[in-house]
Amino acid sequence: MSSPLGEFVTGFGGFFTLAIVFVLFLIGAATFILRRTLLHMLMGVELMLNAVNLNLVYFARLHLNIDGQIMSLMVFVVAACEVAVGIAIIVRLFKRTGTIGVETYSEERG
Amino acid sequence: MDFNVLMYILSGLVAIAGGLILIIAKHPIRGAMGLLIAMLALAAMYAILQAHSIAVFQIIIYAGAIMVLIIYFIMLLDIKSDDYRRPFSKFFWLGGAFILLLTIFFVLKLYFAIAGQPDVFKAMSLSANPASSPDTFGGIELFSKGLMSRYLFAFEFVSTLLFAAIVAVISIVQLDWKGRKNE
Repeated sequence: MSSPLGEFVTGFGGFFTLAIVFVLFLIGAATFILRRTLLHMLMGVELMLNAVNLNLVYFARLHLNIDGQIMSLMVFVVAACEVAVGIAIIVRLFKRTGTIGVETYSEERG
Repeated sequence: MDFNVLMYILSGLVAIAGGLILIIAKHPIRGAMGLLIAMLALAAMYAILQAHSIAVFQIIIYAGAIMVLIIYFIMLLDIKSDDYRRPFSKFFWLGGAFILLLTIFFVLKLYFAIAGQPDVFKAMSLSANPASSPDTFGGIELFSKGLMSRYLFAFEFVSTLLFAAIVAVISIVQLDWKGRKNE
């Protein structure tokens, strides 16, 4: 733990990483909630998953335990499935309605 | 300041900038570019945190596959600009209040967990795995040994999930076999 990077990881780097994860997760959640097109909502979920991945990788390094990195690989696969199914649903909705704005769906229902 | 530490801090700030581009930009292609910037910056952070294989997967899977899929569909759908004229939902203030509550909750949670203890992460690292040292940690060998032994069930289960996703996508888009008409 004598290298500058090791001291950084066990000191200020922890607070810095938690702050980055916190801000990225909030930006992702805000994108999901505040934007009104389906594609933006999908990308917001991606950003949230990425933020959680950074948390896993950081604590894997801090505890010198490889399990966190393996778990983040599982998160990758879940994200890939989510994007595939999400984009299929978006394409189907766009074919039916000609729009991807979520508010239009509730206005045009019936 | 050490080069790795400097790059780590810079990459974190770049990642946040990419996220801000994602939420502010009107057109989704710009938002996708912001997300791509954030993902590449996060890949740099993984590499500095000695998660080399995860950094490579981040670039191959996220930046290479998922983002290409998203950008391809943004171009394929060719959406009229009506959808993008108003970027934010009409429940902006309600959603904003929810985000604010979430922020306050997380800040209080973090404050009570780590405030006033500058050595909290050093204390955590003292209980680190004694079998591995910081110099040899990470790398594909340790990673794949763990993946193929303790996490073999999770690995196989996740491959089943991928297969289920493929079947789900095919059934959702309803491929037009043999000229059969849908709907």
